[in-house]
Amino acid sequence: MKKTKQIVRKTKQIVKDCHRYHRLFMASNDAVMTLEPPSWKFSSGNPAALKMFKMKTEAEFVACELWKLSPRRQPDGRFSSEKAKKMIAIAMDKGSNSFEWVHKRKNGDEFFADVLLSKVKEGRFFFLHAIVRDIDEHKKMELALMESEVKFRNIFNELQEGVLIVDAKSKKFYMGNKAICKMLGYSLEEIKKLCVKDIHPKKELCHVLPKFEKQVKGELVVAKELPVKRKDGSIFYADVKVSVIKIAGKSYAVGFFNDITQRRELEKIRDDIRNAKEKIILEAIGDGVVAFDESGKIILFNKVASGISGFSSEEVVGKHYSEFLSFMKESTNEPAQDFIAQAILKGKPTVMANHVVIVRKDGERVPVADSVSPFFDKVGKVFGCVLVFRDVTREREIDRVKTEFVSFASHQLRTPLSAINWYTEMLLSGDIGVVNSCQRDYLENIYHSNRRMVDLINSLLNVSRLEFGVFAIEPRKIDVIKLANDIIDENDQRISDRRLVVVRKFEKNILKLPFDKNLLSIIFQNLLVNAIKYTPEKGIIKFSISLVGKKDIRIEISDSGCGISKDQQSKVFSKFFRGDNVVKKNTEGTGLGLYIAKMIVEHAGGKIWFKSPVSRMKLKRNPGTAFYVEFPLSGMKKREGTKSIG
Amino acid sequence: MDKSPKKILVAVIEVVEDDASLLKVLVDKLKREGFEVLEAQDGKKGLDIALRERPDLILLDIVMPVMDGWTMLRKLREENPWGKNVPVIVLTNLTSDDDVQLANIVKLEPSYFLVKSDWKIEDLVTKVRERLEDKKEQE
Repeated sequence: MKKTKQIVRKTKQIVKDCHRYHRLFMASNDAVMTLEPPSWKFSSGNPAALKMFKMKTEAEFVACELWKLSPRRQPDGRFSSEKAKKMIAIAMDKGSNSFEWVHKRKNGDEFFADVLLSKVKEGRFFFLHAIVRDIDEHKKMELALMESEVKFRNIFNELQEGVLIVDAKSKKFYMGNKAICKMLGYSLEEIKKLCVKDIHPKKELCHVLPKFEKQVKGELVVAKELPVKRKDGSIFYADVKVSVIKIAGKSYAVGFFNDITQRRELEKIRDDIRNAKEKIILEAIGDGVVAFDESGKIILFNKVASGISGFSSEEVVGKHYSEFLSFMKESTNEPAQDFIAQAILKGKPTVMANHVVIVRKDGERVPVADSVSPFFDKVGKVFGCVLVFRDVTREREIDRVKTEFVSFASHQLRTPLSAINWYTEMLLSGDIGVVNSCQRDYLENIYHSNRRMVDLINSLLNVSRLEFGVFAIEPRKIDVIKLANDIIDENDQRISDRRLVVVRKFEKNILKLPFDKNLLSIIFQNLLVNAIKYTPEKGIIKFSISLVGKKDIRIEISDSGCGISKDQQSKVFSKFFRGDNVVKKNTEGTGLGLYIAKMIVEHAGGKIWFKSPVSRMKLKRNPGTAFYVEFPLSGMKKREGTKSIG
Repeated sequence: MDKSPKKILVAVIEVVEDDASLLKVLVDKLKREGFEVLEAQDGKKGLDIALRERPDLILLDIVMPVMDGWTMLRKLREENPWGKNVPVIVLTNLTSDDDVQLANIVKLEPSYFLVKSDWKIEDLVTKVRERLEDKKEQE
């Protein structure tokens, strides 16, 4: 009886346990299954397991081995079948085995799972109890995170810029990338022990730290050209850009260090190359080139300048030009005007006067021609100037030879002409004996021809000076009208000889204007003489001076003479040109008068032109000619030169 | 009254000119005009004669052998007070307007600088007379 009760109690207990267990089995959210040797197929699987593997019935489930519900290989590359057997073996050996596994659902989906295998004794047999938890989502996130972390770590470390992350409050370094380690010469571990103060030279801390503070506050983004101290004590310069971020609630400053040493060096190399190029170009220029800064110190001195002046570039660069460059007036040996200072002062290019010499290092004087041009910075302020000059010894020499020849030739030619003049004059005066009218006639012809020769030589001399460009224009305030009157009066004989009438029409109240009296006389004289020459007897010449607008003064000399035919008009101002329709009997004239007048007018900044026929006088036989000369009220342009014209 | 006969003062002109034919016509003309004339064909002779004879006026050419006109004039001016003041008319075929001539004109003070080929001999004589008149007035 007792035994039966015991047995019944035990049995009831077993049934209760069984039920409980069964309930657990069925209700568990985790997949629970059992595996039996020797094949280690699944022997049971709870609803959660079926769900996990997307099976419909337990029967389906039970037919499979562990590795059938897995992909061929596991993530570590091992074959699932082989690895599973190993895992099982470990569980059997140790009693349990917990590991990660990749399973495959019936539909082919693979998923990560945590597997716990436990050895269970049943009578004399052992079987494995497995709990499988789907950690796929979790795992995938983990992998993604790892991948992301690797990616960012790579980026962080591959950055060329050095990146240092520093705790904004404590100023201790939290993190650094490969580049900053390389820049500073510390390992990452060493860096993590340092703070901001440690990486800048002590004497610069007073500059650097305030900047850092500003950057942390967001007031300053980039600190330029900061001195940074390496582990070995050497210093390099960097631009540091700072961004402030929060990590887990704490503020950090992320500093991007851009080592500008290399950039600086690159720039220097680029500059050097550019300078080398410029140097080559400069050395190739055939003129002397000297550049000065605004205080007159020489900053550039090219090879030709050295050659001409005798000073080397090394001797003069950095020093004031007055120590070396000495310009003198050729004729007086007085110092020439300081045109370099003038150019800097006035900000205008200056051309050196003619006939300036430079005094070489050895004292020799070399004639030079040059100009100075200032140069300006972006705001238009003068910050230096450039002098360009060349040795004109040869040109000067050629010039000198030319002028000497012309002077010599004219002098030599004039001498016999003077003799002929005077002897003829003496004969004509009757002092040497009575001269009959025929003889008189012949003698007069000799005299006139001779005079023409003299005029020609005088004109040639003037022309040579005009063409060599050596004549000076020296304007002084003169009464232009008085001059005109004087010239007309001087020609009184010629005028009355031909019984011409000269009408003077001079505007009143013209003030004295700056003209070179000598040159203006020549212009008036030449035009007037032409008018007289080309007007037949009893004709009219009009000489008028008037103002045009408020800007110019115009001189008009017109005649009632034979005019200039259309086909000849283009040649009127050319050398030695004489009109075909010259009034008979008048063979005087050099053909140079208008050429000279034009040269003078144009060099002096004026205009000269003519009209023929003159519209007002429409006489067929005598259409007349009107010549006009116009100058601005500022008069003639001053011009330096060695010779005047007379 | 015992008056010593008034001496008719004839002006003495020295002509310094190297060209023989020009010299001849100048001397001839001046003599015809009633002047007493001294001649020299180079600057050195001209200087000697001038210092010795002290003419009232000198007509001086520039381009001459042995010693040119400017050199002669310079020496003359430097020699003595008479040399400094004697009227000199430069008679040349050089043009007046180049630096060298101008400098000499300013320094040595000739009364006139006349270009031979531009002047009639008659007008030259007029100029000589003018200058002598001026001189008389100054004395």
